[in-house]
Amino acid sequence: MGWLELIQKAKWLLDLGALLMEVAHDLAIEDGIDPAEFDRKVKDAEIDRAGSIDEALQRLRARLAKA
Amino acid sequence: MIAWLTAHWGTIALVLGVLISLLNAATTHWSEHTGLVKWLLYIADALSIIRSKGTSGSVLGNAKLPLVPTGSTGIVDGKHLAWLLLPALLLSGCCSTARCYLARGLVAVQACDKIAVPAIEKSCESAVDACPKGTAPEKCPGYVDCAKRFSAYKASMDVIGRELGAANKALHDVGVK
Repeated sequence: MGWLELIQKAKWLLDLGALLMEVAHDLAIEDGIDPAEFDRKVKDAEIDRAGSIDEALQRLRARLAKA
Repeated sequence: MIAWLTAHWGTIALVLGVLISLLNAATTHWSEHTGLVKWLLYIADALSIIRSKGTSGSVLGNAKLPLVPTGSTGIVDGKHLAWLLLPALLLSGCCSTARCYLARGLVAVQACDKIAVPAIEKSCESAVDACPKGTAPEKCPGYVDCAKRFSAYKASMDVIGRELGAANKALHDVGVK
């Protein structure tokens, strides 16, 4: 394992830590969410999901063009 | 029993950490195995602070970060380990209301996106690399397969989110908090 891989793994750990902190913060919910607010969150999640998938497919297409 | 576990969780974690590390150091790399053994050794490798037998290299090569499995060959990416941590987070605190669990479920769905999308992309890279340079995406079987996997993932998670929303509304309408 070289320096690059070590740095990549350290970054992976930091990313994971940040994600878990974010999830832990969001999970500090004690009550239910109002249905309208819940629907808005579901829609936001769907838009974010579509966006991140689209970006991932774009990166794969760029990789294919350069492969 | 639960009170004892709660009072001694630090000692338990330390003992388990040492045992898992020793197990990992004494066994061959997880990628050399198949089936359940592969998965168990993968988890042990991820949780170990010592590299598994037969994978040593330079001094730097012996460095081992916890929660990051060693080796790049195999069926899994390191980020899959985070899947194991999500249920633990979900169970880390009890809700005071029933609909709170639905709200936490939605948080878990959103967290899954941040883990699963990059993991699927990572697993697709080698399939895309197998196609000749300049191939049209729709003519590259690896790319087409990945697009289908993304599509299936999105459809599944969209349905889960909407069902959580529907359950939340139904419980709200009958007065459940």
